[in-house]
Amino acid sequence: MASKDLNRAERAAVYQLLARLWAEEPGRLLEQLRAEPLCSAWKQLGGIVPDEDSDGTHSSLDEDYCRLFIGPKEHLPPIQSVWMSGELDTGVTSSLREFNTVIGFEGPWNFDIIPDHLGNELWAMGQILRKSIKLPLDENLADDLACQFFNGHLNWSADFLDAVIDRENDRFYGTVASVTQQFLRDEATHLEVPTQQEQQQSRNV
Amino acid sequence: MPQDDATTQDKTAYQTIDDLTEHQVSNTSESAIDTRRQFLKLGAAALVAFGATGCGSRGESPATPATGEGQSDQPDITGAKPSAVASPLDLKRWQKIRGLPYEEGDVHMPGVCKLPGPNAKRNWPDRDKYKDVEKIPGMCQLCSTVCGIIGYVKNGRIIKVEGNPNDPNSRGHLCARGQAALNHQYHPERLLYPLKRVGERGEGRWKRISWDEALDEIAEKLGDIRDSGHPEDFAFHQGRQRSKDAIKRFLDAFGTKTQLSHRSLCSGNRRAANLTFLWESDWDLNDVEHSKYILNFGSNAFEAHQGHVSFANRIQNGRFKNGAKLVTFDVRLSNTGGASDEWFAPFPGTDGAVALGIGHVILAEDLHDNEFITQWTNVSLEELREHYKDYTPEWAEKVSGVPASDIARIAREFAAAAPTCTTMCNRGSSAHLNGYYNDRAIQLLNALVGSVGKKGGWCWSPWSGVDPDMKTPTMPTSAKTHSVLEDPPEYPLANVWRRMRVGEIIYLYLLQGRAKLKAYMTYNLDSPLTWPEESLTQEVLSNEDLINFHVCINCFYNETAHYADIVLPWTTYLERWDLDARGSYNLRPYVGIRTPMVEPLGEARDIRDFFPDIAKRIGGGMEEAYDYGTTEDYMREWAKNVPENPETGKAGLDRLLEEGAWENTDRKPFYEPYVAEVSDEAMVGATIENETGVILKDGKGIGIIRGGKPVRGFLTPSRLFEVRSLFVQKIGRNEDCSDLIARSGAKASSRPASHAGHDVEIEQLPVWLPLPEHQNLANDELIMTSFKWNVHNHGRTMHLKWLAEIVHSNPAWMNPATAEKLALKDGDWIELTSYFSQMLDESAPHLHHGERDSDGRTVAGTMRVPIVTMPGIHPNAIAMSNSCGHTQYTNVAQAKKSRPGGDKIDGMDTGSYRDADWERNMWWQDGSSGDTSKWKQNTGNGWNQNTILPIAPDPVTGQQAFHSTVVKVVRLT
Repeated sequence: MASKDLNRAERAAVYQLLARLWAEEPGRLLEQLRAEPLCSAWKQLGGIVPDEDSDGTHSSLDEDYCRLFIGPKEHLPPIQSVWMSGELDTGVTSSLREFNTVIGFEGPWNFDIIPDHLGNELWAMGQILRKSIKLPLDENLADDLACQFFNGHLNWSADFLDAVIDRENDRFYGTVASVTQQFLRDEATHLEVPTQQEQQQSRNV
Repeated sequence: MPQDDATTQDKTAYQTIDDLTEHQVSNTSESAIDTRRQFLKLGAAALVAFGATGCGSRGESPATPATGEGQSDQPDITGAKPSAVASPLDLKRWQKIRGLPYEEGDVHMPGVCKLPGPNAKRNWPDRDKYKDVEKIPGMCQLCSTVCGIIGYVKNGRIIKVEGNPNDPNSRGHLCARGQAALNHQYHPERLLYPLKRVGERGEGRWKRISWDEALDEIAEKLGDIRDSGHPEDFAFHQGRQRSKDAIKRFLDAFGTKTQLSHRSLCSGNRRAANLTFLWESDWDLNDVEHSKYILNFGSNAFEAHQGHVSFANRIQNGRFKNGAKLVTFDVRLSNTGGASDEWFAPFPGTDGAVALGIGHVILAEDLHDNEFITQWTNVSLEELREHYKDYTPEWAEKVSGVPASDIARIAREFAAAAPTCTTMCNRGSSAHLNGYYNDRAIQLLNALVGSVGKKGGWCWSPWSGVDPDMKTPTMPTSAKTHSVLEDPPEYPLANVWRRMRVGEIIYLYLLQGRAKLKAYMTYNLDSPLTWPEESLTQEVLSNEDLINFHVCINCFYNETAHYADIVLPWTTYLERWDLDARGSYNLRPYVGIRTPMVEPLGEARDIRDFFPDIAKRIGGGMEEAYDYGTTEDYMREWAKNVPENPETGKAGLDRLLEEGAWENTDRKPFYEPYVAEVSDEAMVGATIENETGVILKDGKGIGIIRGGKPVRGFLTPSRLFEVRSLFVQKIGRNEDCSDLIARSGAKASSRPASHAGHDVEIEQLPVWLPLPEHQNLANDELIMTSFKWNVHNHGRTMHLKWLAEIVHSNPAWMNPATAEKLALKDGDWIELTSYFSQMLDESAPHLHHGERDSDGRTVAGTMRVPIVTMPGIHPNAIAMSNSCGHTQYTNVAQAKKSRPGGDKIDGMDTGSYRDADWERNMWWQDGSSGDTSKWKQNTGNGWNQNTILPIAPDPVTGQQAFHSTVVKVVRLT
C-alpha cells in the first residue's frame, strides 16, 4: 500500500495531461507538449508531437479528433457507457456523477463533455490524487476512493484504446492511446486493481 | 501557492523519480519499473510545464492556484476552473456511498445499441426498478401522431416510456416506435456538438466547433441575406416538425416565407379533396368508433396512418364493441388489409373508379340519403344520377379488377349502415397522378349516404392542432415574400386553402435555375432518402452554387446532414418543450405538452433555445420577436388558459406538467356542425339571399336558411357541401375567385399573378382519371407501390435497434403468378428500370429531365433488388417498403457493425447487386461464425426506393405520385 501514497503529484499530472488530450482538440496544448522537458518525456513513452499545419494551425488534428471521437460517423466515442453498454448515459454515468460529488469535480473544458467521457474520468482521477496529497498517509479512505474510482471508471478503457491504436497506429492519437494504455496498466498494477482483461478472465472461470 | 514554490517542488518531485527504489515497486519487473519511472518523469515534466506557465483550457486562460483545507497545494497543472480545486475530497460522503453498485454492461461493443441479453435479466424482475422514479409527461415524435407519453426518470435517466392515459387522442396507447424512445435518446451515435464541414460538401469531413462559432457564422450569412432585400433566398426546409410556432416566429421575424415541407409527399390530395367539399378542414376525422361500416381505400391505419394509434384503436373499438365491418381496398395486403373483414386488391390507382361504382349502385338503387343531398349539397339528385350514370359496377370492375358483384354488395352494405358509416383513405388512393380525383370520389360516398358529420360517420373538426384557447406570446407579422420553391405556379390547388406546397419539385427547380438559395436550413429532414430521385437530390445538395450555405439541424447524422456546411445537434423530443396536439378523434380540441424529461446530452440544443440567439446576432429588429423571456416563460404564457383542475388546484402550465394533456370537455364533439343554429345576435345586420338562402353579413357568409331556420351550414361559398366545385375550376383556370372566397369567409386565396399562364383544367365533379401509362403495360412491366411498416416511419426510425431488429430490409413484393410469368422465384434478384410518367411528359414538360430511350420514354433510374413472392399483392403491382436503404444515419440504420479492427460489413454493392447483409443476416443475428453455408436470406438494410422513383406531382395539387411509377422487370442470373 505504501507505494500508492507516493508520487501523487506526478501521477495526477499524467492523468490530467492525458485528460486534456482526450477531452478536447489539443489546440495550444501542443505547444506545451513541444517544450522540454515534457517533449522528451512524452516521446520516451512512444508519444509523438505533431507539427503545425502549413498555415500555422492544428486544423488537421482538430479534424482527426472529430473523425475519431466526435463523429459524426464511424467514430469511437471515448465514453464509458458506450463501450460498456452500447448506449449513452447509463448507470456508469450516474456512478460518475456520484463520484463527482465526492471529488468536487468540474472539468476545465471548452465543451460540455459527456460525464463519463474518458477525458473527464482521467481528470477526475487526477483530482483525487491531487486533493489527497496532504492527507495523512494512513487515510485509507482516499486510497480506497482512488482505487474504486479507477476500477469503476478507468478500467473499462482497454478495448477502446485498443480500437484507437488499431485504427491510428503510429499517428498522433494512436500514440496517445498507446501511452494511455501503458499508463493505465501501470496504474492498475500500482493500485493493485485487476485489469479489465483479468476481471473478464476471472468471470469466465 | 506561489509559482516559484511550485517549480521548486516540481524539481523535488522530479528527483524522486530517479530515486525510485526496488522497495516501492517490489512486485514489478525491471521493465515495469522503467515504465513507471518514465511516467513519473512525464508527470514531473508536466508539473514543470504547466506549473510554471499555467494553462487554461486549450491554453487560453491562466490557472488558478489551489487553496483550501485538506487538499493539495500543488498548482492546478492544466488550468481547472476554480471550483474544480476549491473543494476538498468529501470523504464523509464517500464513506456513505462507497460500495454502492453501479450498473455494469457485459458487452463491449462500440457504436451500436446493445440488445437486452441474458445478463440484463440477471436481476429480472427487478422489484426496485421503478422505485424513486419521477413520472414526467411528454409527447412522442417518432411518427406524426404525437401520442401522449410518460417518461419514467430515475437518477436523471429515462428508463421507460409508456403511453399517457390522460391524452384524449391516444388514450394511453403507444406503438412500437414510441417504445423505442430509449434507443433514440441514448443512441451512442447521437450528434452531441456543432460540426463544421472542412472538406468538400458531401465528403464527410468535419471538425467540432462551439455554438458561438456556429451561431456567429449562421447569423452573418443570414444577416447578409436579410439586408440584401431578398429574404426569400433563405429557405427553411422541415421534415416532421412539431414546433410550428417557433419556426413561424423565426421565419416571420427574419422575413422569409420560403418554408418548405413534405406535405405534398404525404397527404396533399386527401387534404385538397376534403377542402373542396368543406373549405373548413383538410383533415377528415372518421368517427370509426361509433361506425357500423368502415370503407377503407388504401389507408394502412393499423400501421402508419397520421392518426395511427388513436385511429387504429378506435377502428378496433368500432369493430369489436360496435360491430362495425371493415372493408379494405389496397393493392397490397397490409396489416390493415389483413385485419379487415374483407380485402380487395384493385389495380393501382383505381380506387376512385371503385368508389364511383359504389356510388352508382347507391344512386341507382335509391339507397342514397335524399334529404342530405337535396338539403345539404349543391347538386340535385338528378345531376348526380346523370354524373354517375356511366360509372357502373361493371365499368368499375373492368377498370379495377374488383368484381362488380362485390362492388354492388358493398354499396348496399355501406348504405344500409348509414349514417353510421364512413370512408377512410390515405396514401394508397392519394399518392397517384389521379389521386386528387380518387379521393374526391371516395369522400363523396359519405354525402350520398348522408354520413357527413354524423356520429359514426365521416367527420372533421376545425381544430387540427393545439386548442385555440392557447395563445402564444405575440407573434411577429407574417412574412410576405414569394418563392417559386414554396409556391410553384403549375399546381393550382397546392396553396389556395392551406400551404401544402409541392416539396418534390424544389431540387429540380433549383437545378433548372428557377430559384436560388443563398442559405438553406434543414430541420429533421432526410430528403435524399424520402424525396423522389435520390441522385438528383444529392446532386443539388452537394452543389454550392445552387445552395450556397446549408445548415442542418438534427439529432443524428443523416443523409441530409451529409451535405451540410454546419450541423447543429438537436435535442430529442424528450429534452425539449412544445405544446402540441393532433386533430382529435374525439372531435374536440385538446392540448398536450412536450417537456424536457432529462437534460440534453452533450451540447444538443432546441430551436426554441438557439433561434433567439441567432435573431439577437442578426439584430435589425429581429430580436424583438424574442422578448418573451425564457422558453419556460413562453410555455407558461401559452398554456395559461388551461383551467384549474379542482382536484389538484393546478392550472395552466403547472397542470400540463402534472397531467400531460388537457381536453376541453366543455365543447361538444363536432357532429353535424352545419345544423347549428345561427344566434339571434349574429343575425343582426345579416341579409338573406332569396335564391340560395345564404345568410350574408358584411358580404361574408355566416349561414344558410334550412327548414325555415338560420343555421351554420358549411363554410363553402354556397354554405353547402360542395359536390360540384366551381371554385376549383376557376382556380385551375387562373380566374379571380375573390367573390367566392369572400362569401365563404374561410381562409383561402386566389392564385397570385405569378401563376398566370399556368392553367389546369380541373373537373367540377369527382371523376376517375385513367393514367395513360397504366393502360397497356407490357408483360415485363409493373406498377411500383410503396408502404410503411408498423415499426417505422419514412426516414427517421431505422437507427432504432429495437425497431431495426423487427424490420430492416425491403425486398420487393411480387405476386406468385407474376413471378411465374417472369420465370422468377422467391429470393431471385431482379433489375428494375423506372420511367417518368408519360402523362406528365405531355402535360408537364417543365418537369422533363434526362434522356429518352428508343421508345421515347425517359428512364428515371435502375435498381437491383431481390424479390419475395406472396399472394398479398396485385399481380400488376410490385411493392417495396420505404424506411430502408440508409447510407448514413448510424451504423444500425446501415446494418454496419463498426468494430475495432475494421470488421465491417459493407452495404449493397451496386456493381455486383449483392448485399452482404442480405446474404449474411444483420450482424446481430449472424450466428454463422463466417460459415457462408449458414447465411440466411431475407435480411439486410435494404434499398432506398427513391433511387428509382421519379418526381411525379399530381397536376392538380402537386402531391407526389409515389404509387404510379411504371417499372420494367428484368431477371438477373
